[in-house]
Amino acid sequence: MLRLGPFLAVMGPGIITGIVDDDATGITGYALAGARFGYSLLWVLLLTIVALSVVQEMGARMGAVTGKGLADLIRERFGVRITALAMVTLLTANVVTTVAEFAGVAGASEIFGVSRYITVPIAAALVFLVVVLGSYRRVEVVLLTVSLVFLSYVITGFMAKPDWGAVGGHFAVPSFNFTLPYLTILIGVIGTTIAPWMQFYLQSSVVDKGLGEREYRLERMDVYVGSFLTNFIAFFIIVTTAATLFAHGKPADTVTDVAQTLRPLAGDFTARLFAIGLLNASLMAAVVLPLSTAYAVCEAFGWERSVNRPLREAPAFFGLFAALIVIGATAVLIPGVPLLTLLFLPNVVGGILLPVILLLMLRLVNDRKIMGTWVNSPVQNVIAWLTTGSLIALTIIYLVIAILEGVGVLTG
Amino acid sequence: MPFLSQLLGRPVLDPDGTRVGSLRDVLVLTEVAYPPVRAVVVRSGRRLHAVPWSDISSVTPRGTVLRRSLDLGAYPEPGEDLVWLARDVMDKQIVDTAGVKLVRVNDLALVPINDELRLGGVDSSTAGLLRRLGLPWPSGLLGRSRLRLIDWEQVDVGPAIDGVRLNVTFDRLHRMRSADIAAVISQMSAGEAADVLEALQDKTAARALAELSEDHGAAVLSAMEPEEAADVLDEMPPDDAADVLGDVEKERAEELMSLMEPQAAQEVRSLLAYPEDTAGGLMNSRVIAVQESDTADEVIAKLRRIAPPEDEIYYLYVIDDDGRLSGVLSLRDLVVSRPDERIAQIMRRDVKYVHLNDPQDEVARMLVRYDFLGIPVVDDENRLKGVVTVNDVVDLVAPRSWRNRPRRMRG
Repeated sequence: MLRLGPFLAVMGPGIITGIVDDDATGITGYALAGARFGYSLLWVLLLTIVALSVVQEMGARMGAVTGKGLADLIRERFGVRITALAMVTLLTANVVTTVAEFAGVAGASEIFGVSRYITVPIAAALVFLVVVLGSYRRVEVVLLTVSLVFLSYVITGFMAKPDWGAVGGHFAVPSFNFTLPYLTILIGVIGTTIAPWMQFYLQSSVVDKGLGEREYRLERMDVYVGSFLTNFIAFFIIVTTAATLFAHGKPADTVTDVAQTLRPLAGDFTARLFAIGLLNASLMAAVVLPLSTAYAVCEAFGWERSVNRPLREAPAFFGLFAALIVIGATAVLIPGVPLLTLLFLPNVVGGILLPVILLLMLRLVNDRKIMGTWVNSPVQNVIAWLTTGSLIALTIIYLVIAILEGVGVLTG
Repeated sequence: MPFLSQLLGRPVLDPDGTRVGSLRDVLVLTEVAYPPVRAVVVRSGRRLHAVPWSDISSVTPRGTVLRRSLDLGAYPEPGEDLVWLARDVMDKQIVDTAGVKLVRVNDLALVPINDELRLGGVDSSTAGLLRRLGLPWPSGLLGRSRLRLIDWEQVDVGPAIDGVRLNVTFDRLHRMRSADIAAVISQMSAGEAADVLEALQDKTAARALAELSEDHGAAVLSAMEPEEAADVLDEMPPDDAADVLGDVEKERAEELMSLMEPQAAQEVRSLLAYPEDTAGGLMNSRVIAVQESDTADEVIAKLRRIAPPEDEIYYLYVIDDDGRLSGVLSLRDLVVSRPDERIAQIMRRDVKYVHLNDPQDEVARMLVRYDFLGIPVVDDENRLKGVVTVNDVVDLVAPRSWRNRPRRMRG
């Protein structure tokens, strides 16, 4: 009955995941990276594009070969306790990320001068209805189409008239320093680009579509294109804020600040596009996150799951889903809550928790009993292990410095 | 009655109470009803040993006691001829044929009967999960009444597990109604459902596939081995086959049709040419047409020869020499008439029909208004092309939640 638009037909799970990856936390993470440190973090994208491609490809491959979701594989291979650990990890990361998506809605609406006390409850109700009425797959087409405004970041990147020599230099040559604000942003950029939820979402989408070993070559391209898109857009967001906010020494302390300061520097149009992109990204992720969380947890514990089941048959599924939305929306409405912190927090939490998921994925994808001949190649293993290892190392360095400096605040 | 989770990891002792290792797994023979434990796997240092049941005096949550003091090294490494309960069954998905659903094995109940320990049932409850987590107290709060075990004789294997198919066959699944099989596999991923359908007989698989929603059916079909998928499609009524194939990616659909029996493929191909939401897209092109000049006896003999499925003989449609629809008669009309009576004399001439490109809502309305079980479909020249039965439109009128919807993340 449901004919997906031709636009969606060419877009596989990889591209969709890649686009949703540039959610409110992503936009915030990249914007702050540019605003606070100029072009100096651009080199990280060169690494994250490789790391993201390899990690996402592992998930897609596992889905295609086993026909099972990640939560399912973790449960069958590692038993209840490890599964419980993985689910607590995922739940923690996803709760803070869902909060951030509603913070994105709040931030975007306030750029237009509309109170969050009006928009956030409406957004929450909308998200809930769209999923419960089972119309998400149709709404997805709309959201993905609107996400074409992301391309506007490419335009703003050029309109901001960056110093392309400096851009190229920082992109190709890494720099590093051991200060807490720098490490926070660094872990944040990696954490938002390679987020824990994506691994579960992508693999389940591949399984949902019934993609198997036969379609695997095409699916791999889809994943690589998706990973490229994420980083491509990230690149231009960083360039935009680096060329404007950082170059003019303007601090970006709130989301509205980012848009307001963009206005005189890059024009009213740019600021509005920024807000529309933020709103759209927030809404799309606000649907995807609670949905994929509830799905993964129910899959892991064998509870009835599906938006197509009546509420009484799938209480855990709908309960989790509703709880995430309610927590997300109410947290944002607490008076005086700093939106920017809510928006950036998930990046750091995700970056710290991601290794747990990556370690499990690496064990699974290299298990010949599960994957047969489709286990990782040595190159894939080296890249995946380097990603996991450097994230663990970064987390340790970060925590040590944080303790040494006695600072508990995540965003400086 | 111990649960498997309460036994695993516990010490294995020789008769005088010395610890010789720990219990790693329990091996059963699944070909027998309520599979008996035939051996246990003992872990000693880094090695695994299979100790046969005859050398074991007791297995309890406090520990496993051996019958004789023997060097464990005398026991071989465990083989693959038996099913490993902890490795192969725990945490996997299994079909509860009585409850008609897919459940996750949280724990397994082992029942001591005479001198044997037998696999009695599957615990898929939350209490079982908490027991596995080592948190038995909350399950006390839930109360004992919450302990629901699924009788092992009512389960059937779910999808293949790590490539290992349990020796429990699909016997019980076979005996389920096709709608129930569909309800179960709609809860599986496409790959898992494909595994199950491939193991079923083609006829059973075809009926189950026809009951799935079209997009899930298409995903399952794509996940099957092409030859197997084509065999199943051959067994489906062409209209159902066309519905599913219509949602399969184009290249794949072409490949499957090329593997089907030529005649079945041809029927499906011609149906696929009609838009999905019209009478042409709904209809079954296998329709029994009789001639006005036939006698009742001849028609009955013909039906006996073809032995059509029941939903194809609710009504018999009559055509004239040019193949144009001219009348209709019910099976009853046919049976109660004299053997030598001509069809032209017993048929009703004011036959209701729809055109190939009438919208599907219109077709459904006609069926409901006249209380028909089926309605013939004709082309512009009034030639009989097919029939739409109530089964074909029931999905249009029944509430969404009644159908076998796939379990998916995104609706």
